[in-house]
Amino acid sequence: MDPFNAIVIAVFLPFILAWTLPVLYSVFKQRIGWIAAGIAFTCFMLNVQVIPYAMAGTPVQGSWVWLPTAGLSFDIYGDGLAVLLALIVSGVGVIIMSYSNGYMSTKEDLPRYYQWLLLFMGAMLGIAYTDNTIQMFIFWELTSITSFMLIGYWRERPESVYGATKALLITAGGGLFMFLGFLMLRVVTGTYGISEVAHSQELLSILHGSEFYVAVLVLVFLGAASKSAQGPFYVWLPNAMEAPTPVSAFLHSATMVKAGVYLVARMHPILSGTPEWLILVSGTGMITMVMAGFMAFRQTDIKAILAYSTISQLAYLMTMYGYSTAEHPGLGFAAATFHLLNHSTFKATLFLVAGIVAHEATTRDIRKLGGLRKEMPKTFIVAVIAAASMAGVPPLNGFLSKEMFYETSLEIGHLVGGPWVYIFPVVAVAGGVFTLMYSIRLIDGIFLGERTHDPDVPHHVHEAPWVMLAPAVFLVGLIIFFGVYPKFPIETLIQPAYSGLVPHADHLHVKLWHGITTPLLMTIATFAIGIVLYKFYDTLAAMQNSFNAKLPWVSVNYWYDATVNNAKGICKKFANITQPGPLGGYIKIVQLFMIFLVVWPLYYLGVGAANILPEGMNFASQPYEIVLYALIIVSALGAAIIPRYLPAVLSLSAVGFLVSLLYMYLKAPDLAMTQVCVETLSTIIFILVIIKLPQKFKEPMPAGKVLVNLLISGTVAFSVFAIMVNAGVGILAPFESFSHYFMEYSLQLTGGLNVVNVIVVDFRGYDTIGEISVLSLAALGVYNLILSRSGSAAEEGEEE
Amino acid sequence: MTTIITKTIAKICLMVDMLYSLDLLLIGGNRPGGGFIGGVLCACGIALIYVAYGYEDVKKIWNPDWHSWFGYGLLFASITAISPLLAGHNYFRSAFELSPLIVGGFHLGELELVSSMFFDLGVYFVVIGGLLFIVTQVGTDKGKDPEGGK
Repeated sequence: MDPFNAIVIAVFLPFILAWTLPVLYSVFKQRIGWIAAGIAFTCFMLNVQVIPYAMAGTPVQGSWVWLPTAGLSFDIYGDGLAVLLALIVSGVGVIIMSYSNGYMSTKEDLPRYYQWLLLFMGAMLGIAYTDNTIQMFIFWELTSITSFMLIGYWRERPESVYGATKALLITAGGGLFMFLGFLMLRVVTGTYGISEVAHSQELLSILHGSEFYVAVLVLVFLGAASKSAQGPFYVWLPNAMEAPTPVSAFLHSATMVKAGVYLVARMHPILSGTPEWLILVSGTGMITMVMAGFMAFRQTDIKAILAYSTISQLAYLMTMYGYSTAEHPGLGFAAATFHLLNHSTFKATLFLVAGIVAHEATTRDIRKLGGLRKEMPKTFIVAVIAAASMAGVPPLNGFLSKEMFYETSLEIGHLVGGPWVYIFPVVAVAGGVFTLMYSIRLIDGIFLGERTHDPDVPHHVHEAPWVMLAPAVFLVGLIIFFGVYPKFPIETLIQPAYSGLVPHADHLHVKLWHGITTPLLMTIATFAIGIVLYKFYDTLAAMQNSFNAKLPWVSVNYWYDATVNNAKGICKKFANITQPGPLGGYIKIVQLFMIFLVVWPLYYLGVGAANILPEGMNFASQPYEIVLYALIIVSALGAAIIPRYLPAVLSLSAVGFLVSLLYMYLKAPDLAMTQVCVETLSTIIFILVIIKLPQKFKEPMPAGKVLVNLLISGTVAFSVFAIMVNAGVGILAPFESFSHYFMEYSLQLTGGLNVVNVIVVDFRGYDTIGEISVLSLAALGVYNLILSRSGSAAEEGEEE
Repeated sequence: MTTIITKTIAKICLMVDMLYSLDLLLIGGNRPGGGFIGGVLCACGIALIYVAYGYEDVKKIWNPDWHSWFGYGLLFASITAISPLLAGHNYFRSAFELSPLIVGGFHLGELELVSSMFFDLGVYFVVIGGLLFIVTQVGTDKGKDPEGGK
């Protein structure tokens, strides 16, 4: 298959087929999980087609023009990095959707679940292959939205809603900053293309010389950091664990949170090579790595530990991508990309184990668990291998990439010089130590020790069913395989990704045994320190707890909650001021604004009161017209003065009908007809409403208020009059009328003789379609107003 | 209001009104009229029936969902606006054709086929549905009646 077509199909297939699931559900029932997994597998196989092209160093490129007026097209760029992410997304997708068949109860709303999973997968594949910043932004926000729907899958739980909202606010908000960065990038470089900028030395030097460079870097990094839960934005990820566990495994450890890291990797040829890059990306990464690893200690929920671990591991990746300096472009890139792959394997496995434990032991609280190794021996082995890989134990894949991390940390230290020779490696080891400690904790807390006899844990815990175990075993197979035979992933995936983005990339040699090197010594130091410090694990956790209890404002969550909760109060206050309720106020404001609109231009143009009436006005009228004017004035006065609603309304309608009569005299039959019909209907509706009110005005108005109202309405009347009499003549020279265009072309272009109608339905059809939409909305608005009032009548009564 | 005279007149009016409304809709292209005014007129006639006979009684015989009228009207108008795209023209492009009208061998004149007629038909339904939806909703609202209602 043509690789471009393969990519396009892989991206859009999930989007299209997701909508068929509700239909398929009526036939296949709970077995649609396997259909979803099949779709994911199809995407995986389509992605495999692209590997040879990536390995050969000829990225798959192509585009469809999509919005030519805005210079937008759907651009595909399938290089090594894109294929790697696409394979992780679709591969983990297959595993997760198969696993979900065992995890999700058949009573759940399964079509919705698999639908959003597939939509998410499509959006992620879109991110992987995109070569256009706008397209990147669209798919980016699509993943935020699908993640929102999946975190909030159990809608009735308040925690889910809280977690989903938090994730959406932070990731989608960060995406908007990223969008701003992309727009600036476009202003500087003149293109939305990503590879186009990356491959053009000229554009790169323009960008790096531009004053916008730092702004672009910071904004794009804000998007990446919020998505990958880096820096203060980490807060959304622990709360996102309210999602069903397969979702957490898929979105919040293996794929979606990798999007931020992927963005950094993808943009690194464009933005890296400056001190700002190193400080921002690596600095944020290093701080997050240590802090998140440390904060994992006080978590008691297995999934929360894994969440903090994910934040910390993503920070490894961020740090390594940040190492790319001008002296050594691409330093850390290969290590980071390899770790990205490895992290997906071991972290997804650990989440699957967490799901199994929660499913079988009915709790995820690590204090209540323990001693499960005898009852769940297979799960135990799987978990040990995955945790060992996370901790960097040889000969597993985590060990290899962690070695590479230590090695590049040493190199960057030497490049920067000064005290940084030590700081980079020490921080790296600190991250490794914390990782080791919580990895031990996970195994220790769940599987080792004695069974606690907590009432929440059943007496006999069963081994997991094969549906849930098999995907985890498969991933563990990959962990060992990648560890023992790293040549395979390095040559098929990592090397192409590395060479594709880093110019003059060297050939990677990854082996288990390098001899006794400094990184190996660092690994040994990590293990030694970690095992010693593990004795103080509980003490450290208790310290964190007491610290947090004393100083709650240190926590980012404290500020998030304060902001979001206060936002509701502030909005309510704001609404109380801007929407006070009584209609009189609104009308007055509209009228005052109208006066301003007329008076200000007059003042601005220096038009005196004497000039307002145009010269040569003809006030001569026929006797019947004078009668009509008199009647209009009388009924208008009646509408204002009569102290009862019904006669006042009828009097107002009389004005309308009389005006339509005036239209007849002035030879505008269609206007007259419209006016009569509209007046009839509005009178009917008005009466229907008014008939329910007490028929007398309740409060007599004080004289002062009457005077003010009179003044306002008098000025409005005069303003309207001034506009009307000047409309034809103009205080300014009138604009050239273009009605002759419609007159000339109406028959020729549309075959209609009635120019008014032709304008409405043809020349200005845009306006009309807008108007009928407004009419429909107004009808719905009326319906909602009535419905909400009768529905909440009791509530309102209480407030009053 | 619901005297026998009102009822009888309303009934007669409705027929004339409907015919006139359709006429206005159809001649809109060339003479005063069009979808909007035709729709308002039709809505007036039906509203008159509601007022004369009472909503509850009319409902027993004929109870259309006015909200679906304006929904479909909007859909219809949008489809008309979009359909030129399928033929490779611009959004909202209109077309017309004069074709001889022959009935039973007699040439009766020219029949003018205008594509914007369909758009006007959408407007017509939106106007009827929207206005009568408001009328019926406001008319049947029992929110603050002394009897309580629902």
